[in-house]
Amino acid sequence: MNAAQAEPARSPFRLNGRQLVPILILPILLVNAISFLWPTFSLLRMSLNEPVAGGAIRETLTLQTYIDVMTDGFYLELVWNSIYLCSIITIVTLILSYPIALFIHRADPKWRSILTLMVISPLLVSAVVRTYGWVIILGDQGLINAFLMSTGLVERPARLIFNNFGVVVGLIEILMPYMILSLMAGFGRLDPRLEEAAQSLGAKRFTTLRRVTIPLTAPGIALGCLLVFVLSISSFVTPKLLGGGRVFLLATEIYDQSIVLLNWPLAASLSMLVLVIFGAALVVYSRIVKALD
Amino acid sequence: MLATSPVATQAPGAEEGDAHLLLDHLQKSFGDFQAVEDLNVSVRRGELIALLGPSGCGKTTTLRMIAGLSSATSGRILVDGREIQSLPAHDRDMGLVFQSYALFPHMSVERNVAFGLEMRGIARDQLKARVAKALELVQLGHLAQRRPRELSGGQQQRVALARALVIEPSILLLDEPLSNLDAKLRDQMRVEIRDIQQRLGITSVFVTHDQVEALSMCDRIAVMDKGRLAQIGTPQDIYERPATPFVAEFVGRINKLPGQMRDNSTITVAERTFKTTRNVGESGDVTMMIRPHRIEMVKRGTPSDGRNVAHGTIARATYVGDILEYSVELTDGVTLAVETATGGHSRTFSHGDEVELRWSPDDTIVFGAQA
Repeated sequence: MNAAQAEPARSPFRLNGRQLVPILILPILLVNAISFLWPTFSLLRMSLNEPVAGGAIRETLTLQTYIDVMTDGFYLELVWNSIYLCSIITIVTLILSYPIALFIHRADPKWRSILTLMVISPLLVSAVVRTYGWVIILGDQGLINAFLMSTGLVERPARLIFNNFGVVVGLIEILMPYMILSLMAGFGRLDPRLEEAAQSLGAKRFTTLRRVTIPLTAPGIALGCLLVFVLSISSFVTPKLLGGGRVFLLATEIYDQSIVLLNWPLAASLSMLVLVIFGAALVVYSRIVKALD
Repeated sequence: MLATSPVATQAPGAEEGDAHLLLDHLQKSFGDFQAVEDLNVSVRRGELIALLGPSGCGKTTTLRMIAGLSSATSGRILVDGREIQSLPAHDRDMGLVFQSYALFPHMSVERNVAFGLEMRGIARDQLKARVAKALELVQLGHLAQRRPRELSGGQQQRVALARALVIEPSILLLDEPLSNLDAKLRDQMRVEIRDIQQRLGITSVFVTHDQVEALSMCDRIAVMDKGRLAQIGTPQDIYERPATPFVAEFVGRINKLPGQMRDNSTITVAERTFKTTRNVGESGDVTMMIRPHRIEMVKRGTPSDGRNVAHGTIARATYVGDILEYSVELTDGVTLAVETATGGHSRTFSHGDEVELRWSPDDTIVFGAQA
């Protein structure tokens, strides 16, 4: 009441800050509604339809596809396999990226921009091309196998591709730039004085890393992990090419169901499942961030 | 100039026997840049010594070498006669207080203070008792559960001090610990740090660019200039008997006039003659220096009782609360700064007043002119 009275008289066409907010966020709301909410809703609607043999769809409202997915061991394993592989990818990507990000963060400023550019540069090449690059490296006649055979370490080419290993290796390399950039964004709180303070108090190198450096960079770690997990679970090209049809993940299965088998309701319900996994990952992330603060 | 000054050539290592901390021919270079050059300092047990100098003089680099955060290019660092320059920072047993405090933001005050004890594997109950005692020492027992960012600058400063002291280090190192505090708090913390240091009798090295801090807190001051030791001595030594023009100008305000030595105790400055008792073998062109507050300002015609006398006109008078700063123009255009205390007993002058300046030959400092 008092606040309203204290408000100075103003033209009715002038808006104060609070009134301006909805107008300013309207454009992004519109974009989101058209490009995200509407397709998501269509997917949800599609997942409630009933597939008919031959690729036709019968408009109805049934939870039958969901029940099928939940009761079929194949799909449950698919979900489990996806989460499992993507968790491994996330953890290994983190372990490989952390030292690089730390090194760049501590580098001389004139080198830092060059190093950052080097981290980003793989993103200039399409993931498809990079994936074919891995086929060349990991294939039966690839770089690694050729080397192993020439040294006589193995008699027959080692299976490095068209299995989980190939998919994990390829996705790690493709996702590392995202992890490194997220980590670097989270290194703002990392003051070298803090690490020096720890050392002066008697902390050895590894203890300093464990007690000071990692806790201080945890927000960046959480962000990077969320991003890489989400990107890996939704990535399609790399698992498709490096998995060679032998690695079954949610994204590749959705593709097969919708494009090859034309079972759109099933593809849609699997997509909704991916969305649920994203939601869960986001919840875990925000819990962690809140706990860190 | 530095090499010929009597204080700077004080035999290094002479006090090695009773020194708690000894810097012996310490040297640090970054590429071509000599950050610290041939530094010899001996710190006695229980002494608070200041490393004083302008930024870039090598004082912080020196402290970092003592702490083990930066390695010496050459030279030795000894604690109780034992060489430590090759030990890593975590084995040096030094308590370090940073300019930015460097408190761990993800730990409570209590956990910050406990960190050093945990690193030493102190048992839990003993650890708790020692942390509580350290926090009590800096009067922060009631804030133990707070996070550093919830504390004021002065409180953070105290936590940093408690964290450094709780490990009972052999030497306490303070890197500009007061420079982030406001003026009033700084005065208070100055007294507090000195008090705690004396109570614990802990050997301490205090890096500062603030001459007031150095003069008021420390037993001795090592003034550094461009990586070299310019002078080391008690605050009185440094202020009253500066070894070099740099020290004279850096510590406190001082008037600087070019002149010539006539004989060992007489200087001429633009036709005027002054007496000095402070000449150490200089002849020819010299620089005469006088502290502004050692000049007495009187009305003309008062008997001079053997002191140096100069006549001039007040060009500017600035009131700064506790003192009045005058700028006095002598008859031939030379300007002297003069400070007088404000208050009942001293006369105040204003712009255009004709005055007579007097100062003792004992306060007339002389340096060779090449400086």
